[in-house]
Amino acid sequence: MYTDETELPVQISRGDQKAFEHVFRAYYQPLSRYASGLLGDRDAAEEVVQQLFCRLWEKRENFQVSGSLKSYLFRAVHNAVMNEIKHEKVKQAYMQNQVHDRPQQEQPGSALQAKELEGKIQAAIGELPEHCRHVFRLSRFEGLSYREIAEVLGISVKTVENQMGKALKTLRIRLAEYLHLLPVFILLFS
Amino acid sequence: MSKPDTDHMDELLAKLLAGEATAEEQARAAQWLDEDISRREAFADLEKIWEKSGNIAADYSADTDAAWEKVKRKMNGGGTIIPLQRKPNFMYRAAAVFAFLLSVSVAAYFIFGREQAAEGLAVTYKASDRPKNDTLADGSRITLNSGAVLVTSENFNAGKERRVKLTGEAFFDVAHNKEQPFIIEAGEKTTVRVLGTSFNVNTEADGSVDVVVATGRVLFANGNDSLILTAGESGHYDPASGSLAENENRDPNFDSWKTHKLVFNDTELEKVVAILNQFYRADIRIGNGSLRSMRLTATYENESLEHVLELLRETFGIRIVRDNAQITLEKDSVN
Repeated sequence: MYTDETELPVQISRGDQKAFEHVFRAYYQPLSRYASGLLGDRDAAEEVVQQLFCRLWEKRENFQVSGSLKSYLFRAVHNAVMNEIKHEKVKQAYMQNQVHDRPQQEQPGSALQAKELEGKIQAAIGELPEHCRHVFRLSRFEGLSYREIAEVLGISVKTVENQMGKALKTLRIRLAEYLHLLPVFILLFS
Repeated sequence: MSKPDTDHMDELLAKLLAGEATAEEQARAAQWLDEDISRREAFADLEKIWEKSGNIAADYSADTDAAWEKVKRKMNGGGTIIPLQRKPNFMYRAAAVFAFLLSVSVAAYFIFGREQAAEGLAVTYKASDRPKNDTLADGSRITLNSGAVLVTSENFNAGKERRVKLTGEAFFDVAHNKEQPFIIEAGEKTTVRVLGTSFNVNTEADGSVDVVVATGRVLFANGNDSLILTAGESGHYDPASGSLAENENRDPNFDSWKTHKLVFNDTELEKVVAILNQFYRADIRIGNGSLRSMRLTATYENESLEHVLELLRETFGIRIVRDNAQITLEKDSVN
């Protein structure tokens, strides 16, 4: 999907709108999906990604990518989302002070859905420790290599291996009962 | 088997699934799995999780075309960046908005529009029909209430201070920077000066300004007076007297525009009506003097005006009389 991208940043920095559009179209969906997974809010996630691209275009003259373009973009989105979450936390904490008994926002699309096991898996991923969750999403959902994940998150490849192992182990243990229920369901309904 | 060993195997199996395992590692994993059926079962579980979680990603689809159109408009200058030397091109809006923006761009021109400042253009942020989050060039986060407009100074992030002009209401979460104080021109005569903190500023059309501080400290000043506000405190500028004062009682509804929640705690009906009128942009009046001092304790969250009126009717046993857009609360003659 993303072949030979080394030239694109150079073209963009020269003001090539076609190259910019190409990058936007190739990455808008995966970047939005990643941001949405972290934020739990599609609209906010897409807003973050759009703003990122607008800023990138505004400052295109200084646009330089040292590693891979993919890692660069995911890193930029990751940082923007973390910033957003920090801002939301300040606001939330503030509102909690203002108004008592503010109910927790229900996460849309959580646990019990038609596709039950997928729902359970999604919920379990959401409950992974923060670093595990980021690493897992980047690997499984966005198909990034360990090296790319390390670049995005600013950690070592060894740490990525570590966190992936931890993520899968945690998911396996947490989901054990549902995984083993599955054959029973099949027996019942077939 | 020891725990570090299983941890290591989880890493190895993860690599296998993620396609990161070398040939040597694949062989090692295969051997480890062969040794024990329970390992194979565990790996089968992992494979199932891996496969199913792939569907989750496939379920997400974004409207890339629509998003690209939006971004393209902004790229071509139709959206948020308006050089103040040029005639602003957003004057086609509704009359009220027109007047609003005109006053802002005129004010902004006088404050920021210095002749020699050709580079580092002023940036305008605005929220039209619903609250909007944005990030300024210095990393400060803002949430603009609908109708609010914020204009940064030229060279906003390059001078010895960060200066912005606000019309309407906004929540600020200012990036800390001791070297460059963040100054908000709120209304015609007051400024809010901060180093790095979060707070809400509301400028009203009549010239009054309210500041409520969430974290940190804020200096709230007009020409001759100033007020230091700390977390949890709020200040009010009264345009009639030209004075600043710290509010005794914080308005629990000052951020209802963001929370969609109205809180009344033993509040007089007269005040309740004023708050409802502002929040719903309604025209509610109290028809009978004796109703004014009735008190309401209630919390409404995401309620329509209709429903709130119905609740008031039930709570106080009053009548709701409508005459076009005007709503009058009347004492029920039966009671």
